[in-house]
Amino acid sequence: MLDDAQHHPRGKNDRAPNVFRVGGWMPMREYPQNEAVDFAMVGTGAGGGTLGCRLAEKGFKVVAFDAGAWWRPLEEFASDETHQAKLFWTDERICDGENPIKLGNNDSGKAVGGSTVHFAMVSLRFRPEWFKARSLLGYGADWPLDWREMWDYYAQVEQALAISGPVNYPWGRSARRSIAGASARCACDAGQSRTAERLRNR
Amino acid sequence: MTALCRCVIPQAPGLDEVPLAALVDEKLAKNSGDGYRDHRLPPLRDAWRTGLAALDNESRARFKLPFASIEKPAQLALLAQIQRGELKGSAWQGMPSNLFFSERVLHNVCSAYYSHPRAWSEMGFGGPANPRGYVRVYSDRRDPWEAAEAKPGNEEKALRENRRAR
Repeated sequence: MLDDAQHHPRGKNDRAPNVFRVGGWMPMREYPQNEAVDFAMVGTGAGGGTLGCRLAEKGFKVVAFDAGAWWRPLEEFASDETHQAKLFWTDERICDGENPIKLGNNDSGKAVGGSTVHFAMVSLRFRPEWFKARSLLGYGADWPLDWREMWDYYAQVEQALAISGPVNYPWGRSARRSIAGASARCACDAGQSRTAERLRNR
Repeated sequence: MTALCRCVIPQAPGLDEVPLAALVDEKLAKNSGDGYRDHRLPPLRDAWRTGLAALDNESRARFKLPFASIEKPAQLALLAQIQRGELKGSAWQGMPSNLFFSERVLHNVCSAYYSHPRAWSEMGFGGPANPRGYVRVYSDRRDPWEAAEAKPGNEEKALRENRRAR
């Protein structure tokens, strides 16, 4: 099985694998062991990878750690479940309690990119009423922020992670995502959903 | 292990048999777990060692023969008892036999079987669509790389079309 990446680190010598090109490389900043940096990210998944990228784009010195391999998806995977298992983080977690939950072996990823290497580009937004689950629905807890505030961040994160899904979300307010930047904000007052009205009247 | 696998997923012995015992054994050799474990079960290798030994132990106690040597109906009856969690001897070392059956035997053996292309062919699944993807997502349509179904009376036509399926 093609598992060279699990034995030889690839993000070094000022370059990283270009996952979109067979055998390709792209430049990557590398810092010597004794040089101070601004941020050290542990884990390069949806959180660490996205944040590390944004910080580096803003000019900070960023180092990112990951326990997994830096795969070349075009070359190192047969299209079957056995090969996909190379992406899974299967260090043992114990499920306790009287009714132990059954997890899946693909719940977490162990690779540069974390779970984003196999998340099928799906990341669903919370429904507006779930931000006030305790007061509106009678369970869970109320979040300390308003759903409308989150909607702009959702748009940013979805761009950063290149998620798939509808241009207009079936819940919350509508947004024209094709107009970069201004999109979410200008659609804000134009297309309030009925749920939004209800929330605002409370 | 081979006898157990043949009880769980009966196959005609021969060259076309999916080597289930070997596939499970490979998983055990690599000790590649699922990433989670029910706390009532010991780790992967221990569960299998204990479970197989207890199964053999029970068979020897009843028939003076190892599990692999007793008749198929007796094997199935024994497994049914394990599935219901009725066997609790000291050989099980406290492991609930029904959990061993559902979370180790069924899970590992069936996963091995359905990860094998031969099992896919049996149910007419052409394998994962990646990286080509599904394009013709309509009722009763198929992509060029998918095999046509050999419906009764249409076998020759399907065979002809499937020569082009890549």
